[in-house]
Order: sequence, then C-alpha cells, then structure tokens
Amino acid sequence: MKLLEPTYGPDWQGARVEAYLDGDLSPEEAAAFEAHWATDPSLDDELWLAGKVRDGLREMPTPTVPPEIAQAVLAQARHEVRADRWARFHTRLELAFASLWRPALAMATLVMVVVTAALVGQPATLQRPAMSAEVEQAMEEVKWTLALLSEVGRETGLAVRAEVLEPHVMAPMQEALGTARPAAQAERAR
Amino acid sequence: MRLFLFAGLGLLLLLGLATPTLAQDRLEDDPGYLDMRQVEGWFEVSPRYEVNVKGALLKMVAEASRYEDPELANLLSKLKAIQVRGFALRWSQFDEVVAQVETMVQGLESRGWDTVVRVREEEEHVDMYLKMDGDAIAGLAVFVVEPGDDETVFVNIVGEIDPADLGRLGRRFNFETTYDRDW
Repeated sequence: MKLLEPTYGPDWQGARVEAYLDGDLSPEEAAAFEAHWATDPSLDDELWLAGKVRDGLREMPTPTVPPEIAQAVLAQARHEVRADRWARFHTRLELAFASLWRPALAMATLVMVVVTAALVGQPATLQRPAMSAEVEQAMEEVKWTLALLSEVGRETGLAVRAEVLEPHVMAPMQEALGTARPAAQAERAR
Repeated sequence: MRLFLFAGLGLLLLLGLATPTLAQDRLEDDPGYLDMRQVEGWFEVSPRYEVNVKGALLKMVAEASRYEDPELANLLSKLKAIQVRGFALRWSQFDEVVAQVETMVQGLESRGWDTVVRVREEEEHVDMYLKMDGDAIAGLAVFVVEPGDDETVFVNIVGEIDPADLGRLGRRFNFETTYDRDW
C-alpha cells in the first residue's frame, strides 16, 4: 500500500505561517514548511506580513482595566463561584439525604414490623395487663357470682331430682316396670 | 328556602334514628335488667354483700381475664351487668319477703320473662327466670329466699347469656372458699 503524499496547498501553508513564526511547528513540520517555502516565493510576502502583524501586536500598549470595573468583575465572579458552590453543595446534600432517608425509612418500617410481629406472636400469658385493685376485686366478685349461680343450680337440680323426679316420675315408672328398689334403698340413695 | 326545608327534614330524620339508639344504650332500658333498688326496699338493713359489675368495669374484667381464661372473657364480653344482693333473713321476715318475691316474679312474667326453675320448700324458695330477646337470652334472674345469715340472694345477669357456659364456668370457681369472703 502506498501512502498518499502530503499536498502543500494554500490552506496548508496559510494554517502554518503564524505557527512557523511563533516556533510552534514540530521539527518535521518546520522542515516541510521550509522545503515548501524554498519552492514558493510568494511565501516571502506572507511571512513578512505575518511578522509585521505579530510585531505590531507585541508593541501595542497593554490596556489597564479601571479598578472599579476590576472589583465589580471580581465580585461578580466570586458571587458566581459561591452560587455554583452552593448549588453543588445543595445537589450533593439532596443526593446524600435521598440516599440516607430511604434506607432509614425502610429500616424504621422493618423495625416496626418486627416489633409488632414479636408483640402479637408472644405467648398470651406474657401480655397479661396489670389489673387495678378495682378490677381485681370485680374479677373476684364475678367469679364468686358464677360460682354462686352454679351452686344454686346444682342444689336446685338436686332438690328437683329428690322432690320431683324420683318420687313422682322415676318411682312410678320403676313400679310399672317392676324394677322398683326397696323403699329403704331408695331413701339411702336420696 | 328549599335548602332549609331539606336540612330540617334531615335533622329530624337523624334525631328520629338517634333517639331509639340512645335509649337502647341505657342499661336500665335493657330487657334483661332488674332494678335491685326494689329488692333492697324489702329489707330494713343494707345488703350483707353486694356485687355491681357493669359497663366499663365489666369490660375491663373481661379483658383482664382474656389472657388467662379466654372462655371466661368471652362469656363476660357478652354481658352488660352482673348484680347481686345478699341479705340476712330472720324467720319472722320469711313470709313477707316471699310475698314480695311472688309479686315481683308475677311482674316479670307479665313482661315476658320465662320461668326456668321454681322450688317451693318449707324453708327455701328458689326462682330462676330467663328473659329472651329474639333467639338470644337477654337476662337471667335468680331469687333464693331462705332464713339465715347469708342465704337470701338475688342475682341479675344482663346480656347475652349461655346457661351452659354459666354452669360450666361457675363449677370451675370454688364457691365454698369464696363464700365466707370478707364483704
């Protein structure tokens, strides 16, 4: 494969005249420029003109900025730098907060779920609430009342069986069936 | 004008709906409730023992027992009031109190209470009545009249009652050990 040879046209030399005068070309490019210059006398004028412009610019006095304008520009620059710094800080803060509160919220929710589950899942006996003296007394009275009702029911049932069922229902039936117990035995059973 | 008319009608409707609800919430208006002041009026002395567990206190007792005795808690949670009065009764008062009880139970029967047990012995009268509210029991009344220091007892349980539960739970508690409690 054959590489294409560089073409030294007006664009090529125009782009390198100022760089050559400033010494910014690489040694290879400077050698190529000088070889081309040797074959193209029009470059003399161009180099002369470019040299004159460069020297003229160098000889121009450096303009001095009035102090109040310099102060104003510096103040504006500082303000913009501060604003930019605050904006970056705010953005970082938001990012940091967003990256912190979401895990924190998730952790809090998890803790709540775990605590609730632990409380609900605990054996019932562990959750016995503390009873006030009034509730304690009322509890005793309730139990006593239930026991009293049970006792009345039991005694009443015994009385009904002894006074009604056995003499007026069971005995006639047993007599009719011929399975009556002797009176003494029935009395003992009573 | 039309707006005021509708607002007035709405208010009347709300009042009409709310009034029976409020009335039903009063324990004294419950069909299973007995006014124990009537019983107390038969005696010249204060009751020897008295139980009044109702309303918020009853709910607290139910909740307090839920962890150790869920069956008792379920029974109590359906109740609205437990009232007991126990009196000392002299023989000389027996007939008079029995007559008062007879008058009272006739009133209960006229108000739809059903007789469950009626025992008439020489030294003891026992009456047990139930008040039905639809298919459910709304009240229980037990009257035991027997001469002695603490044999005459009047009991009223208000609320949805399952007699089987009452009997089963009552047997669980030792009446003898609590009978001589210090009132």
